[in-house]
Amino acid sequence: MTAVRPLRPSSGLHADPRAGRFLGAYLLSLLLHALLLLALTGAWRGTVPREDKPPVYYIDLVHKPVLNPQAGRPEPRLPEQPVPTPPAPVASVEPKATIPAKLATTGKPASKTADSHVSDALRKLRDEQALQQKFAALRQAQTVPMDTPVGLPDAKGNEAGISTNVYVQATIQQNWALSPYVLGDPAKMARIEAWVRITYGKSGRLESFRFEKESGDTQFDESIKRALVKSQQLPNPLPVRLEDVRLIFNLKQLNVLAELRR
Amino acid sequence: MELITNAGLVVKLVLLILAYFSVTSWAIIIYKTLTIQRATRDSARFLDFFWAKRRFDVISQGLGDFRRSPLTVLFREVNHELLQSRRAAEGASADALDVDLGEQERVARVLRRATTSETHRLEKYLSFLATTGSAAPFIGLFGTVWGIMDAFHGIGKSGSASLAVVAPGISEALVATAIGLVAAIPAVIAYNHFVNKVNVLIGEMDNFSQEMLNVVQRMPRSR
Repeated sequence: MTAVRPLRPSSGLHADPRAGRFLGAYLLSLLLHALLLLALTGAWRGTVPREDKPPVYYIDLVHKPVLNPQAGRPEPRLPEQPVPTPPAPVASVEPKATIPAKLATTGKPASKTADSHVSDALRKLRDEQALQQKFAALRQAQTVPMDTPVGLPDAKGNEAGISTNVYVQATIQQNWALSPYVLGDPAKMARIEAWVRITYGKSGRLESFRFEKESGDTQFDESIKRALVKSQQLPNPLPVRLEDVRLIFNLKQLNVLAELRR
Repeated sequence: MELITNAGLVVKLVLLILAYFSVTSWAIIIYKTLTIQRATRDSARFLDFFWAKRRFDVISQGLGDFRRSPLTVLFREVNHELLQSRRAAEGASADALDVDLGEQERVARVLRRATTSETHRLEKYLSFLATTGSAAPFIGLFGTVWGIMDAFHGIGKSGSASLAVVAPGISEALVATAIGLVAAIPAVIAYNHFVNKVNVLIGEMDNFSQEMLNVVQRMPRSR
Protein backbone atom coordinates (compact mmCIF):
# COMPACT_ATOMS: atom_id res chain seq x y z
CA MET A 1 0.00 0.00 0.00
CA THR A 2 1.36 3.39 -1.02
CA ALA A 3 1.45 6.20 1.48
CA VAL A 4 -1.11 8.87 0.84
CA ARG A 5 0.41 12.35 0.63
CA PRO A 6 -1.63 14.56 2.94
CA LEU A 7 -3.13 17.63 1.29
CA ARG A 8 -3.45 20.69 3.43
CA PRO A 9 -6.93 22.12 2.94
CA SER A 10 -7.16 25.70 1.74
CA SER A 11 -7.96 28.24 4.42
CA GLY A 12 -9.10 31.81 4.34
CA LEU A 13 -6.80 32.71 7.20
CA HIS A 14 -3.65 32.14 5.20
CA ALA A 15 -2.34 34.30 2.45
CA ASP A 16 -3.59 33.14 -0.87
CA PRO A 17 -0.70 32.25 -3.14
CA ARG A 18 -2.90 33.08 -6.12
CA ALA A 19 -3.89 36.43 -4.74
CA GLY A 20 -1.58 38.46 -6.89
CA ARG A 21 0.07 41.55 -5.65
CA PHE A 22 -1.99 43.66 -3.33
CA LEU A 23 1.08 45.77 -2.66
CA GLY A 24 1.23 46.66 -6.34
CA ALA A 25 -2.36 47.81 -6.26
CA TYR A 26 -1.60 49.86 -3.17
CA LEU A 27 1.34 51.58 -4.83
CA LEU A 28 -0.76 52.25 -7.90
CA SER A 29 -3.48 53.78 -5.75
CA LEU A 30 -0.90 55.93 -3.99
CA LEU A 31 0.42 57.11 -7.33
CA LEU A 32 -3.07 57.96 -8.56
CA HIS A 33 -3.77 60.00 -5.45
CA ALA A 34 -0.48 61.85 -5.78
CA LEU A 35 -1.26 62.67 -9.42
CA LEU A 36 -4.73 63.84 -8.48
CA LEU A 37 -3.31 66.07 -5.78
CA LEU A 38 -0.79 67.53 -8.19
CA ALA A 39 -3.46 68.13 -10.79
CA LEU A 40 -5.74 69.86 -8.30
CA THR A 41 -3.05 72.10 -6.89
CA GLY A 42 -1.56 72.88 -10.28
CA ALA A 43 1.92 72.01 -9.07
CA TRP A 44 2.61 70.04 -12.23
CA ARG A 45 2.68 73.28 -14.16
CA GLY A 46 5.88 74.19 -12.37
CA THR A 47 6.97 77.79 -12.13
CA VAL A 48 5.79 78.97 -15.53
CA PRO A 49 4.67 82.56 -15.01
CA ARG A 50 1.08 83.24 -15.82
CA GLU A 51 0.26 85.73 -18.49
CA ASP A 52 -0.97 88.88 -16.86
CA LYS A 53 -4.40 89.78 -18.06
CA PRO A 54 -5.19 93.41 -18.71
CA PRO A 55 -7.24 94.94 -15.97
CA VAL A 56 -10.98 94.93 -16.54
CA TYR A 57 -12.98 97.84 -15.31
CA TYR A 58 -16.65 97.47 -14.59
CA ILE A 59 -18.99 100.40 -14.66
CA ASP A 60 -22.20 100.24 -12.74
CA LEU A 61 -24.68 101.64 -15.19
CA VAL A 62 -27.64 102.95 -13.30
CA HIS A 63 -30.67 102.49 -15.46
CA LYS A 64 -32.34 105.73 -14.71
CA PRO A 65 -30.56 108.69 -16.24
CA VAL A 66 -30.62 112.00 -14.46
CA LEU A 67 -30.03 115.52 -15.51
CA ASN A 68 -27.30 116.30 -13.09
CA PRO A 69 -25.43 113.16 -12.10
CA GLN A 70 -23.02 115.08 -9.93
CA ALA A 71 -25.74 116.19 -7.53
CA GLY A 72 -25.66 114.38 -4.27
CA ARG A 73 -21.96 113.71 -4.35
CA PRO A 74 -19.88 115.11 -1.57
CA GLU A 75 -17.63 118.02 -2.22
CA PRO A 76 -14.01 117.12 -2.66
CA ARG A 77 -12.28 117.20 0.61
CA LEU A 78 -10.59 120.50 1.19
CA PRO A 79 -7.18 120.72 2.75
CA GLU A 80 -7.56 121.20 6.41
CA GLN A 81 -7.30 124.77 7.43
CA PRO A 82 -6.37 125.79 10.88
CA VAL A 83 -9.42 126.71 12.84
CA PRO A 84 -9.28 130.39 13.54
CA THR A 85 -8.93 130.99 17.17
CA PRO A 86 -11.85 132.93 18.37
CA PRO A 87 -10.94 136.36 19.54
CA ALA A 88 -11.21 137.29 23.13
CA PRO A 89 -14.74 137.79 24.21
CA VAL A 90 -15.75 141.28 23.56
CA ALA A 91 -18.49 141.40 26.05
CA SER A 92 -16.23 141.66 29.06
CA VAL A 93 -13.75 144.11 27.65
CA GLU A 94 -15.06 147.20 26.06
CA PRO A 95 -13.29 147.71 22.77
CA LYS A 96 -11.86 150.98 22.01
CA ALA A 97 -14.27 152.93 19.97
CA THR A 98 -12.93 154.63 16.95
CA ILE A 99 -13.77 158.20 17.51
CA PRO A 100 -13.99 160.29 14.42
CA ALA A 101 -11.05 162.57 14.04
CA LYS A 102 -13.30 165.51 13.82
CA LEU A 103 -14.72 164.86 17.22
CA ALA A 104 -11.34 164.11 18.72
CA THR A 105 -9.91 167.37 17.66
CA THR A 106 -12.83 169.34 18.90
CA GLY A 107 -12.83 167.51 22.22
CA LYS A 108 -16.56 167.81 22.38
CA PRO A 109 -18.63 164.88 23.74
CA ALA A 110 -19.85 162.44 21.11
CA SER A 111 -23.12 163.25 19.68
CA LYS A 112 -26.06 160.87 19.59
CA THR A 113 -25.49 160.00 15.92
CA ALA A 114 -21.87 159.13 16.54
CA ASP A 115 -22.82 156.86 19.43
CA SER A 116 -25.30 155.00 17.33
CA HIS A 117 -22.67 154.51 14.61
CA VAL A 118 -20.23 153.12 17.11
CA SER A 119 -22.72 150.78 18.67
CA ASP A 120 -23.78 149.56 15.23
CA ALA A 121 -20.20 148.89 14.29
CA LEU A 122 -19.63 147.04 17.54
CA ARG A 123 -22.73 144.95 17.03
CA LYS A 124 -21.70 144.10 13.49
CA LEU A 125 -18.28 143.13 14.74
CA ARG A 126 -19.75 140.88 17.39
CA ASP A 127 -22.14 139.28 14.92
CA GLU A 128 -19.34 138.66 12.47
CA GLN A 129 -17.18 137.07 15.15
CA ALA A 130 -20.04 134.88 16.29
CA LEU A 131 -20.69 133.86 12.70
CA GLN A 132 -17.04 133.00 12.20
CA GLN A 133 -17.08 130.84 15.28
CA LYS A 134 -20.19 129.09 14.07
CA PHE A 135 -18.63 128.47 10.66
CA ALA A 136 -15.49 127.10 12.23
CA ALA A 137 -17.51 124.69 14.35
CA LEU A 138 -19.58 123.61 11.35
CA ARG A 139 -16.48 123.12 9.21
CA GLN A 140 -14.99 120.92 11.86
CA ALA A 141 -18.17 118.92 12.22
CA GLN A 142 -18.60 118.43 8.47
CA THR A 143 -15.10 117.24 7.74
CA VAL A 144 -15.84 114.00 5.84
CA PRO A 145 -13.44 111.11 6.37
CA MET A 146 -11.99 109.47 3.27
CA ASP A 147 -13.92 106.24 3.67
CA THR A 148 -17.30 107.89 4.00
CA PRO A 149 -19.81 106.46 1.53
CA VAL A 150 -20.64 108.51 -1.50
CA GLY A 151 -23.63 110.75 -1.08
CA LEU A 152 -24.90 113.35 1.29
CA PRO A 153 -27.44 112.98 4.04
CA ASP A 154 -29.79 115.45 2.38
CA ALA A 155 -29.62 113.82 -1.06
CA LYS A 156 -32.82 112.50 -2.63
CA GLY A 157 -31.50 109.08 -3.48
CA ASN A 158 -31.81 109.46 -7.22
CA GLU A 159 -28.78 111.59 -7.73
CA ALA A 160 -26.31 108.82 -8.52
CA GLY A 161 -26.37 108.00 -12.18
CA ILE A 162 -25.03 108.79 -15.56
CA SER A 163 -25.73 111.43 -18.08
CA THR A 164 -28.35 110.91 -20.72
CA ASN A 165 -25.82 110.64 -23.52
CA VAL A 166 -23.81 108.00 -21.71
CA TYR A 167 -26.96 106.10 -20.89
CA VAL A 168 -28.13 106.00 -24.49
CA GLN A 169 -24.65 105.17 -25.70
CA ALA A 170 -24.29 102.32 -23.22
CA THR A 171 -27.69 100.89 -24.14
CA ILE A 172 -26.89 100.88 -27.83
CA GLN A 173 -23.44 99.45 -27.20
CA GLN A 174 -24.95 96.61 -25.22
CA ASN A 175 -27.22 95.79 -28.11
CA TRP A 176 -24.42 95.97 -30.64
CA ALA A 177 -23.05 92.57 -31.62
CA LEU A 178 -20.57 91.83 -34.35
CA SER A 179 -19.17 88.44 -35.18
CA PRO A 180 -15.39 88.31 -34.83
CA TYR A 181 -15.15 86.35 -38.04
CA VAL A 182 -16.70 89.08 -40.15
CA LEU A 183 -13.78 91.46 -40.26
CA GLY A 184 -10.81 89.28 -39.51
CA ASP A 185 -8.09 91.73 -40.37
CA PRO A 186 -6.83 93.50 -37.22
CA ALA A 187 -5.72 96.54 -39.20
CA LYS A 188 -9.18 96.91 -40.65
CA MET A 189 -10.69 96.43 -37.21
CA ALA A 190 -8.59 99.26 -35.87
CA ARG A 191 -9.59 101.82 -38.50
CA ILE A 192 -13.17 100.98 -39.32
CA GLU A 193 -15.66 103.60 -38.16
CA ALA A 194 -19.16 104.86 -38.86
CA TRP A 195 -21.00 107.98 -37.73
CA VAL A 196 -24.72 107.93 -37.06
CA ARG A 197 -27.04 110.78 -36.13
CA ILE A 198 -29.87 109.70 -33.83
CA THR A 199 -32.87 111.37 -32.28
CA TYR A 200 -34.54 110.00 -29.17
CA GLY A 201 -37.76 111.35 -27.76
CA LYS A 202 -38.33 111.88 -24.06
CA SER A 203 -40.24 108.63 -23.91
CA GLY A 204 -37.04 106.80 -24.81
CA ARG A 205 -38.27 105.99 -28.31
CA LEU A 206 -35.85 106.20 -31.22
CA GLU A 207 -37.43 108.64 -33.60
CA SER A 208 -34.91 108.72 -36.39
CA PHE A 209 -31.40 107.80 -37.35
CA ARG A 210 -29.28 108.39 -40.38
CA PHE A 211 -25.76 107.49 -41.34
CA GLU A 212 -23.60 110.55 -41.42
CA LYS A 213 -20.57 108.58 -42.47
CA GLU A 214 -20.69 104.95 -43.49
CA SER A 215 -17.86 102.62 -42.71
CA GLY A 216 -17.63 101.10 -46.14
CA ASP A 217 -18.19 97.63 -44.80
CA THR A 218 -21.72 96.43 -45.34
CA GLN A 219 -21.72 93.93 -42.53
CA PHE A 220 -20.37 96.48 -40.09
CA ASP A 221 -23.06 98.96 -41.06
CA GLU A 222 -25.73 96.29 -40.89
CA SER A 223 -24.64 95.39 -37.38
CA ILE A 224 -25.10 99.05 -36.39
CA LYS A 225 -28.56 99.07 -37.89
CA ARG A 226 -29.43 95.94 -35.97
CA ALA A 227 -28.19 97.54 -32.76
CA LEU A 228 -30.31 100.62 -33.40
CA VAL A 229 -33.38 98.54 -34.16
CA LYS A 230 -32.85 96.62 -30.94
CA SER A 231 -32.48 99.92 -29.10
CA GLN A 232 -35.69 101.37 -30.53
CA GLN A 233 -37.15 101.60 -27.08
CA LEU A 234 -34.93 102.40 -24.14
CA PRO A 235 -35.71 100.70 -20.83
CA ASN A 236 -36.42 104.04 -19.19
CA PRO A 237 -37.67 107.38 -20.45
CA LEU A 238 -35.18 110.16 -20.87
CA PRO A 239 -35.22 113.37 -18.88
CA VAL A 240 -34.60 115.39 -22.04
CA ARG A 241 -35.06 114.87 -25.73
CA LEU A 242 -31.91 113.90 -27.56
CA GLU A 243 -31.96 115.79 -30.79
CA ASP A 244 -29.69 114.77 -33.62
CA VAL A 245 -26.90 113.36 -31.49
CA ARG A 246 -23.88 111.92 -33.23
CA LEU A 247 -22.83 108.40 -32.28
CA ILE A 248 -19.48 107.08 -33.45
CA PHE A 249 -19.16 103.36 -33.84
CA ASN A 250 -15.66 101.92 -33.92
CA LEU A 251 -13.68 99.03 -32.56
CA LYS A 252 -10.92 100.97 -30.93
CA GLN A 253 -12.14 100.29 -27.46
CA LEU A 254 -10.08 97.69 -25.73
CA ASN A 255 -12.93 95.51 -24.61
CA VAL A 256 -14.43 95.31 -28.05
CA LEU A 257 -11.11 94.49 -29.61
CA ALA A 258 -10.35 91.87 -26.99
CA GLU A 259 -13.69 90.26 -27.57
CA LEU A 260 -13.25 90.17 -31.29
CA ARG A 261 -9.83 88.59 -31.03
CA ARG A 262 -11.17 85.55 -29.22
CA MET B 1 -4.09 73.79 -1.34
CA GLU B 2 -4.21 76.76 1.02
CA LEU B 3 -7.39 75.32 2.48
CA ILE B 4 -5.41 72.32 3.70
CA THR B 5 -2.25 74.08 4.75
CA ASN B 6 -4.13 76.72 6.70
CA ALA B 7 -6.30 74.17 8.53
CA GLY B 8 -5.80 73.35 12.18
CA LEU B 9 -3.95 70.36 13.59
CA VAL B 10 -7.04 68.25 14.23
CA VAL B 11 -8.43 68.92 10.78
CA LYS B 12 -5.09 68.00 9.25
CA LEU B 13 -5.08 64.76 11.23
CA VAL B 14 -8.59 63.99 10.03
CA LEU B 15 -7.53 64.68 6.47
CA LEU B 16 -4.59 62.33 6.88
CA ILE B 17 -6.87 59.56 8.12
CA LEU B 18 -9.24 60.15 5.24
CA ALA B 19 -6.33 60.05 2.81
CA TYR B 20 -5.34 56.67 4.22
CA PHE B 21 -8.91 55.44 3.81
CA SER B 22 -9.07 56.71 0.26
CA VAL B 23 -5.72 55.26 -0.81
CA THR B 24 -6.48 51.89 0.73
CA SER B 25 -9.98 51.83 -0.71
CA TRP B 26 -8.73 52.50 -4.19
CA ALA B 27 -6.01 49.88 -3.77
CA ILE B 28 -8.71 47.38 -2.82
CA ILE B 29 -10.88 48.50 -5.72
CA ILE B 30 -8.04 47.95 -8.17
CA TYR B 31 -7.02 44.65 -6.61
CA LYS B 32 -10.55 43.29 -6.38
CA THR B 33 -11.41 44.36 -9.88
CA LEU B 34 -8.51 42.34 -11.24
CA THR B 35 -9.05 39.38 -8.92
CA ILE B 36 -12.77 38.99 -9.46
CA GLN B 37 -12.51 39.63 -13.17
CA ARG B 38 -9.91 36.90 -13.53
CA ALA B 39 -11.85 34.54 -11.26
CA THR B 40 -15.01 34.97 -13.30
CA ARG B 41 -13.20 34.52 -16.58
CA ASP B 42 -11.24 31.46 -15.41
CA SER B 43 -14.37 29.91 -13.89
CA ALA B 44 -16.25 30.15 -17.16
CA ARG B 45 -13.32 28.64 -19.02
CA PHE B 46 -12.89 25.90 -16.40
CA LEU B 47 -16.55 24.87 -16.61
CA ASP B 48 -16.21 24.51 -20.37
CA PHE B 49 -13.06 22.49 -19.87
CA PHE B 50 -14.61 20.37 -17.12
CA TRP B 51 -17.64 19.33 -19.13
CA ALA B 52 -15.57 18.80 -22.23
CA LYS B 53 -13.04 16.43 -20.68
CA ARG B 54 -15.16 14.57 -18.08
CA ARG B 55 -12.15 12.62 -16.82
CA PHE B 56 -10.79 13.60 -13.43
CA ASP B 57 -7.23 12.67 -14.23
CA VAL B 58 -7.25 14.74 -17.44
CA ILE B 59 -8.91 17.65 -15.71
CA SER B 60 -6.40 17.50 -12.87
CA GLN B 61 -3.56 17.91 -15.32
CA GLY B 62 -5.15 21.00 -16.88
CA LEU B 63 -5.93 22.86 -13.67
CA GLY B 64 -2.89 25.08 -14.04
CA ASP B 65 -4.60 27.02 -16.81
CA PHE B 66 -7.43 28.16 -14.49
CA ARG B 67 -5.54 29.06 -11.38
CA ARG B 68 -7.70 32.09 -10.58
CA SER B 69 -10.98 30.19 -10.56
CA PRO B 70 -12.41 29.13 -7.19
CA LEU B 71 -14.00 26.14 -8.90
CA THR B 72 -10.59 24.62 -9.49
CA VAL B 73 -10.02 24.59 -5.75
CA LEU B 74 -13.27 22.75 -5.25
CA PHE B 75 -12.39 20.23 -7.92
CA ARG B 76 -8.86 19.73 -6.64
CA GLU B 77 -9.99 19.08 -3.10
CA VAL B 78 -12.75 16.71 -4.20
CA ASN B 79 -10.36 14.88 -6.43
CA HIS B 80 -7.87 14.55 -3.65
CA GLU B 81 -10.52 13.36 -1.25
CA LEU B 82 -11.65 10.73 -3.71
CA LEU B 83 -8.12 9.53 -4.21
CA GLN B 84 -7.63 9.30 -0.48
CA SER B 85 -10.89 7.42 -0.04
CA ARG B 86 -10.07 4.97 -2.80
CA ARG B 87 -6.62 4.38 -1.45
CA ALA B 88 -7.94 3.90 2.05
CA ALA B 89 -10.69 1.62 0.82
CA GLU B 90 -8.21 -0.63 -0.94
CA GLY B 91 -6.81 -1.77 2.39
CA ALA B 92 -10.02 -1.66 4.39
CA SER B 93 -12.29 -4.59 5.15
CA ALA B 94 -15.42 -2.58 5.78
CA ASP B 95 -18.68 -3.13 4.00
CA ALA B 96 -18.70 -1.72 0.48
CA LEU B 97 -22.04 0.07 0.85
CA ASP B 98 -20.92 1.81 4.01
CA VAL B 99 -17.71 2.93 2.35
CA ASP B 100 -19.61 4.34 -0.62
CA LEU B 101 -22.01 6.37 1.54
CA GLY B 102 -19.16 7.68 3.66
CA GLU B 103 -17.31 8.77 0.58
CA GLN B 104 -20.21 10.91 -0.61
CA GLU B 105 -20.57 12.43 2.79
CA ARG B 106 -16.88 13.26 2.94
CA VAL B 107 -17.00 14.80 -0.53
CA ALA B 108 -19.93 16.97 0.50
CA ARG B 109 -18.03 18.14 3.57
CA VAL B 110 -14.95 18.89 1.51
CA LEU B 111 -17.04 20.89 -0.94
CA ARG B 112 -18.68 22.90 1.84
CA ARG B 113 -15.34 23.66 3.44
CA ALA B 114 -13.72 24.62 0.16
CA THR B 115 -16.67 26.80 -0.75
CA THR B 116 -16.46 28.59 2.59
CA SER B 117 -12.74 29.04 2.21
CA GLU B 118 -13.07 30.43 -1.30
CA THR B 119 -15.90 32.71 -0.24
CA HIS B 120 -13.70 34.16 2.45
CA ARG B 121 -10.94 34.65 -0.06
CA LEU B 122 -13.25 36.42 -2.48
CA GLU B 123 -14.72 38.62 0.21
CA LYS B 124 -11.36 39.55 1.64
CA TYR B 125 -10.85 43.33 2.06
CA LEU B 126 -14.47 44.06 1.15
CA SER B 127 -15.21 44.84 4.77
CA PHE B 128 -12.71 47.68 4.57
CA LEU B 129 -14.69 49.19 1.70
CA ALA B 130 -17.86 48.95 3.76
CA THR B 131 -16.11 50.57 6.71
CA THR B 132 -14.83 53.38 4.53
CA GLY B 133 -18.24 53.94 3.02
CA SER B 134 -19.92 54.23 6.37
CA ALA B 135 -17.24 55.84 8.53
CA ALA B 136 -15.43 58.27 6.23
CA PRO B 137 -18.29 60.82 6.04
CA PHE B 138 -18.53 60.85 9.81
CA ILE B 139 -14.80 61.28 10.20
CA GLY B 140 -14.94 64.15 7.74
CA LEU B 141 -17.89 65.62 9.59
CA PHE B 142 -15.93 65.44 12.80
CA GLY B 143 -13.12 67.40 11.16
CA THR B 144 -15.60 69.97 9.91
CA VAL B 145 -17.24 70.40 13.29
CA TRP B 146 -13.88 70.77 14.94
CA GLY B 147 -12.72 73.25 12.29
CA ILE B 148 -15.87 75.34 12.69
CA MET B 149 -15.43 75.34 16.45
CA ASP B 150 -11.89 76.51 15.92
CA ALA B 151 -13.04 79.18 13.47
CA PHE B 152 -15.66 80.51 15.85
CA HIS B 153 -13.12 80.59 18.60
CA GLY B 154 -10.89 82.70 16.38
CA ILE B 155 -13.81 84.95 15.49
CA GLY B 156 -14.56 85.46 19.14
CA LYS B 157 -10.97 86.41 19.77
CA SER B 158 -10.75 88.80 16.87
CA GLY B 159 -14.03 90.42 17.85
CA SER B 160 -15.17 90.78 14.26
CA ALA B 161 -17.97 88.81 12.66
CA SER B 162 -17.56 90.03 9.13
CA LEU B 163 -17.73 87.61 6.24
CA ALA B 164 -14.04 88.06 5.58
CA VAL B 165 -13.28 86.70 9.02
CA VAL B 166 -15.92 83.95 9.18
CA ALA B 167 -15.75 82.51 5.67
CA PRO B 168 -12.12 81.28 5.47
CA GLY B 169 -12.37 79.26 8.67
CA ILE B 170 -15.61 77.58 7.66
CA SER B 171 -14.31 76.94 4.17
CA GLU B 172 -11.21 75.23 5.57
CA ALA B 173 -13.37 73.17 7.87
CA LEU B 174 -15.68 72.03 5.09
CA VAL B 175 -12.76 70.51 3.21
CA ALA B 176 -12.81 67.63 5.68
CA THR B 177 -16.41 66.72 4.84
CA ALA B 178 -15.71 67.02 1.15
CA ILE B 179 -12.74 64.66 1.33
CA GLY B 180 -14.70 62.29 3.53
CA LEU B 181 -17.37 62.06 0.85
CA VAL B 182 -14.75 61.69 -1.87
CA ALA B 183 -13.35 58.71 0.00
CA ALA B 184 -16.73 57.20 0.87
CA ILE B 185 -18.66 57.42 -2.39
CA PRO B 186 -16.35 55.24 -4.53
CA ALA B 187 -16.01 52.81 -1.64
CA VAL B 188 -19.77 52.33 -1.33
CA ILE B 189 -20.24 51.95 -5.08
CA ALA B 190 -17.36 49.50 -5.34
CA TYR B 191 -18.55 47.52 -2.31
CA ASN B 192 -21.99 46.99 -3.79
CA HIS B 193 -20.51 46.05 -7.13
CA PHE B 194 -18.06 43.56 -5.69
CA VAL B 195 -20.60 41.99 -3.36
CA ASN B 196 -22.81 41.37 -6.36
CA LYS B 197 -19.95 39.81 -8.29
CA VAL B 198 -18.90 37.65 -5.36
CA ASN B 199 -22.47 36.45 -4.91
CA VAL B 200 -22.48 35.36 -8.53
CA LEU B 201 -19.28 33.41 -7.96
CA ILE B 202 -20.65 31.87 -4.76
CA GLY B 203 -23.69 30.76 -6.73
CA GLU B 204 -21.42 29.24 -9.31
CA MET B 205 -19.54 27.37 -6.59
CA ASP B 206 -22.79 26.04 -5.11
CA ASN B 207 -23.93 24.85 -8.50
CA PHE B 208 -20.59 23.25 -9.17
CA SER B 209 -20.71 21.54 -5.77
CA GLN B 210 -24.07 19.99 -6.56
CA GLU B 211 -22.80 18.85 -9.93
CA MET B 212 -19.72 17.37 -8.37
CA LEU B 213 -21.83 15.46 -5.86
CA ASN B 214 -23.91 14.10 -8.69
CA VAL B 215 -20.82 13.08 -10.58
CA VAL B 216 -19.39 11.36 -7.53
CA GLN B 217 -22.69 9.57 -6.97
CA ARG B 218 -22.73 8.37 -10.56
CA MET B 219 -19.17 7.10 -10.39
CA PRO B 220 -18.71 3.36 -10.68
CA ARG B 221 -18.11 1.73 -7.34
CA SER B 222 -14.51 0.91 -6.66
CA ARG B 223 -15.46 -2.51 -5.44
